[in-house]
Amino acid sequence: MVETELPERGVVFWPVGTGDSTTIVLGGDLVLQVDLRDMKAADEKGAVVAAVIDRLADTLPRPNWLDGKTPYLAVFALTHADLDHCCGFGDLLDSGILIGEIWATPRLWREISEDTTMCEDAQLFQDEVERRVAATLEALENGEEPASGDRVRIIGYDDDRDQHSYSELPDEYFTFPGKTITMIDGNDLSETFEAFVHAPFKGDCAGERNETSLALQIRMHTGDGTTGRLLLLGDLAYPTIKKIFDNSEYFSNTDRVEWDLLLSPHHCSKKVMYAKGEDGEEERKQDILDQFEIYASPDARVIASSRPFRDQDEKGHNPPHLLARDAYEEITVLPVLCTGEYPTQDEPRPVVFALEPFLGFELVDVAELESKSLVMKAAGGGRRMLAALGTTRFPAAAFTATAALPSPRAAAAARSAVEQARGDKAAPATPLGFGDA
Amino acid sequence: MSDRTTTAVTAGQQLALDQLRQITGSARGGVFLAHVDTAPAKAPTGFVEARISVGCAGLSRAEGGLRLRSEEPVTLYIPPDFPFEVPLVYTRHSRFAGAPHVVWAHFPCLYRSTATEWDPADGMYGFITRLLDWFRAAAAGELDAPGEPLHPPHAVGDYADGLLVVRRDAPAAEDDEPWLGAALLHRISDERSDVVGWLPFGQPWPPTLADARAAAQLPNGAEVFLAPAVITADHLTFEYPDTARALITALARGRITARMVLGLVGVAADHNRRLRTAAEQTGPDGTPHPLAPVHLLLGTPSRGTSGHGPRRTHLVAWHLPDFADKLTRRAVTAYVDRQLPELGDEIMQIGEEWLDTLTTRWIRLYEARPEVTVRRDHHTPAAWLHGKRILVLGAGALGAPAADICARAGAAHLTVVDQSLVHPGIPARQPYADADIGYPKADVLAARLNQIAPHATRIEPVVADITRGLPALDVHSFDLILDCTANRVVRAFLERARRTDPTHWPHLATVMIGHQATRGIAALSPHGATGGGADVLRRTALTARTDPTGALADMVEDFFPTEPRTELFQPEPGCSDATFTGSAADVTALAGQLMTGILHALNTPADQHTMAALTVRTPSGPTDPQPAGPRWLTWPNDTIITDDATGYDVRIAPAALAEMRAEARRGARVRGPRVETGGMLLGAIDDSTGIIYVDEATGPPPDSLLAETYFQHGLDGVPRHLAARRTATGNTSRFLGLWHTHPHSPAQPSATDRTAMELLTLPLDDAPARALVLIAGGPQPVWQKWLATGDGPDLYARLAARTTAATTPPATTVPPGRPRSALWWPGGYATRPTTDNPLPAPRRSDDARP
Repeated sequence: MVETELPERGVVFWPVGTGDSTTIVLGGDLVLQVDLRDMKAADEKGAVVAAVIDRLADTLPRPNWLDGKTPYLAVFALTHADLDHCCGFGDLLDSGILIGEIWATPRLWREISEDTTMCEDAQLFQDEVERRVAATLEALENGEEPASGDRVRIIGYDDDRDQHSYSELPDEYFTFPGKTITMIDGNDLSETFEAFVHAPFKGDCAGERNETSLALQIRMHTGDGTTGRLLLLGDLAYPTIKKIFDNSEYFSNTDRVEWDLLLSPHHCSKKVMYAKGEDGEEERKQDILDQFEIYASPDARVIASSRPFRDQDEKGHNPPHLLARDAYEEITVLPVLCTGEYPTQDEPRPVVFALEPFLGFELVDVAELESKSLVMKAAGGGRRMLAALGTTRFPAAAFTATAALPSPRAAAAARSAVEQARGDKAAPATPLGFGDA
Repeated sequence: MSDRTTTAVTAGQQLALDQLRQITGSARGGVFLAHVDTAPAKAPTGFVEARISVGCAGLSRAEGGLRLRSEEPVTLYIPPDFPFEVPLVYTRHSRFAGAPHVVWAHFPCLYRSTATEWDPADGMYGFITRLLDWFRAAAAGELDAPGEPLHPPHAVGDYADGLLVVRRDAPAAEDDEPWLGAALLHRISDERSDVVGWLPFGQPWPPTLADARAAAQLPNGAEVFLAPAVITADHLTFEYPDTARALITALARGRITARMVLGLVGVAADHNRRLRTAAEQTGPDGTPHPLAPVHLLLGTPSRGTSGHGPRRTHLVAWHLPDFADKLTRRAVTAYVDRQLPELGDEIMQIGEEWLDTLTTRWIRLYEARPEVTVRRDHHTPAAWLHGKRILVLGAGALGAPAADICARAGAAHLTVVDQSLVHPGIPARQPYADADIGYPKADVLAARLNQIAPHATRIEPVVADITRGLPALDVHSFDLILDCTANRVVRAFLERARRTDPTHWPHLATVMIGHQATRGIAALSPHGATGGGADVLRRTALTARTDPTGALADMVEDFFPTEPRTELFQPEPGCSDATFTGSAADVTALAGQLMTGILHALNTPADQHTMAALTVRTPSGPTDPQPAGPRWLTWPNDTIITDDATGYDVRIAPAALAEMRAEARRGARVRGPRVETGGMLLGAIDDSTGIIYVDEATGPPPDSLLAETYFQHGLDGVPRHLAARRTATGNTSRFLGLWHTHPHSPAQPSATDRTAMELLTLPLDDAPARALVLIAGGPQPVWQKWLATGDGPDLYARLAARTTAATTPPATTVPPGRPRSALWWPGGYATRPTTDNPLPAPRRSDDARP
């Protein structure tokens, strides 16, 4: 690219092991964080996972309307309350970052009332949501709008809602499946941003926790009419995702399941396309793969937010599953991109997709980010943040700090791959002895 | 990466996959393999699909270059015959649509010519390298460097329906308005028609068949008809749809409505009907002639060969036999004097029905339009021949291949003159066939060559003796005359015609091959050269004989033997011209080499044209001594004056004039500026052509006497010098006459000179019967300029001929009125004058008589 500037907007998938942590940079001061996994391991020597909160605190915008000092996260959305999606939320609250608005599903209230085991961070999240519900109700009582920092949005419907305080919130604080969110912490972004809610479905409210995940299609528009589309399906598995596709087809909403980027559900779990058949045996579900393929753009890309893939799947292995990766690669041209392997297993970096005119979501090469980061950091805004996040180094990187950055997507790498394969520069690597003794 | 293994892959495909995995297995990344499908649904049967992505980060993108992703996804289709067939590249996206070398939006074209660019031994390694090169060039905006050949997109379809060859540059839509009209087609055969013209709608179309033929410069009897043609204003990036309805819908976006298309079909059908009489509308077997067009030409703007130039029209042809049939039977009579939309209305009903049922069928279309094609001999010397008029004399071993070369190079007109007939022995080395035996070579050759490019090149045979036939031909109308007769008579005839014709002749090339067809000579007399073929060959002989290195000795032996060749080859019993031995390989090779040399020479700038001769030799065996390569000899133009007595050309070689000048300058310096000097002239007189060749000039012999108004040529060493030169030149250059100077006075013979001329030719001893007397002189400025710069002096020449049979020598050689006080100088290299009076008596040198 000769483009000297990184676009202002984009998506960052963090290397956080097998878990999700997605940062969507919306331009201006607005950043949307979907799920969070900030593990203690990130602070250890040789870490190959990111210290997400520290980096966010370093890089988030510090808008002048606030105080010019406080890092500002416009929205935090939690798909569901599993630890691999909310780990470190407590630290986030304590980090000094102002979270303008929180998107939550009604599921947590149900779990609390049913005494389901819940991790500490999920509990803290729920406490924070409760606080915001109360603050919002109080503001409204005083005839005011809730302030940034107190805002909350409940996404989805639970038939036990009447038992909980949030039910008192006015309708505009709710979004139900089939509806679109364009308000980000009080800012109307309808020209450039849409989050279409696919799930949780009302009928699943009492199902397995994973199946109550928030599912969104994020659309971001550029000035030249290009749209980038990202599917975030939490930890949903085959039945619910199938329902999402079927509903979209039924309601002629198929543009809402079209995708350029798919954060593979449940960290590239095979449960998306392998499910029990009529005979009770697990079988491959080609129907859902066909639907994924139909609605994929030609350059579609699947992201596996997980640890590096193992050499083979074994029974009982948690995600990521090679079976799932292979299935995705049958329907896309681009290989699945694993956050734990990008750009290399030894030194992963956050995966930055910038929203480019004409191209849509475009993977930004690490080396390019490195070489331009100084310029771009100086540019400020979302540009600065994308550059800063993309060049995040982890402790493991310290070993190789002086070595050349691996850049597997550089054109030069492609040439050297061919040369290597052909043996253009091949020579014996070690002395070898021969003889008949 | 995942593999779905179903059907067996071929060994070649396995090799491709192994090589691909070698590449994608690189620790450095760069190329990634996502998926291999051995039975892909969307590929041709037997192909293996491999989806890969290629790192493109860091490629510098220029203005106008393609915007590439940092990782570009592509799908490869690997053919079963890999590596003897090249994989296809397909992109799911259409981001590259409209870019050069991208076919139908999804197929980047990596190889223009797999035959030369694809290396099976390098397999996938080479292929991926090529893909990387393509991406690099795409990002840099260099896919379409100006001058690159056009890569026209294809319409994929059933090619069984015939062939169209497009010969005339196509119109283009203007001002965003589509072009509507008809293509004028010349029906070549049942399978093939050629587009020979374009008729815009709204302008008068040829009302009769004769007019239509005339418009396309077709001969009488050529079958012509019209086909509707529409050319859109917008660049189409869609793939041509496969149903008529979808195509019409797509065209509508370019403001070409179904109504317009159907109306145009009707108008064209109607005009086809009007072009023919009722009788002509029925074929010989009684079946109705297809009146309605069976093709619809569809054009879209596309890039031209120049890259940055205006977009050219890309054409496809839609085959419409069913529709044509329906129109012929049901609707033709309705189309009289209607407007297009109105006509469209009338056939909309047929059309609507037709649109929904018909799939689009494309017929094969070959481009021969000058605007989008580049001739294969472009940038070769033969390009000179394109559009030229050539006269080929002789249709034998050299003439026939030379004429073939001219016809293939796109000469506009060839006249082939030869009066001989094809004999049974001829096909052994000349391009004639058994069936040609007994026919005139010129007729047979013309008939064959007329089939090469009938729309561009006309070959006219003249069966006649060349010396008799030539006057009837307007030689000045030709650009090049090729004398391939190897005939001295023809050569002399041409030399004479060329000399006496005041107008400058076209380029003349005289070609010959040696008696065993191992050597060839081309003598080139370009436009404006002083000498023709005979002259150039004469000086070739002179140069070759006198070449001190002996490098051309074989040429002398072959072409200019001192003794006539005794072993003449008579191929058939009976009376025939002696010919040479040699094979088709020999003569064709020599003809090709000589032609290439001639064309190279003609391609040089006109101000560098000189008389020239090319010598070539055929190769010998691997263990034989190898003959020398081609060699050019060149000569600047002669100085030509006209002989006072005969009107002959006196062609003074620059070397001879330079020798005279050197002597004049030395004389001026040593003896004084007004002292005359002179010497002998060596050369030859050719009465057949009327040319006097002056090859050399010598200075005054030592026993000469030189004074201000008198020059007496001595005799010391003269016979010996002449004998030496005769030997050296194979008797080509002999005693020709005498020259002397008139410093600062007109180049006109004095009374003394006139007397000398008579004396010179007196029948004494070996005195010549004719001798040239050449006087160099001129008024002071002219003379001084010659001495200083070499700009020619005034010259006078007269071929003195013996008129009397005088037997007595004249009383004295002392000129009348000799001033007593004059200073006398001897010739040779003396630097002091002779002051004492005794005029040396003329001496005979000792060597004059053995």
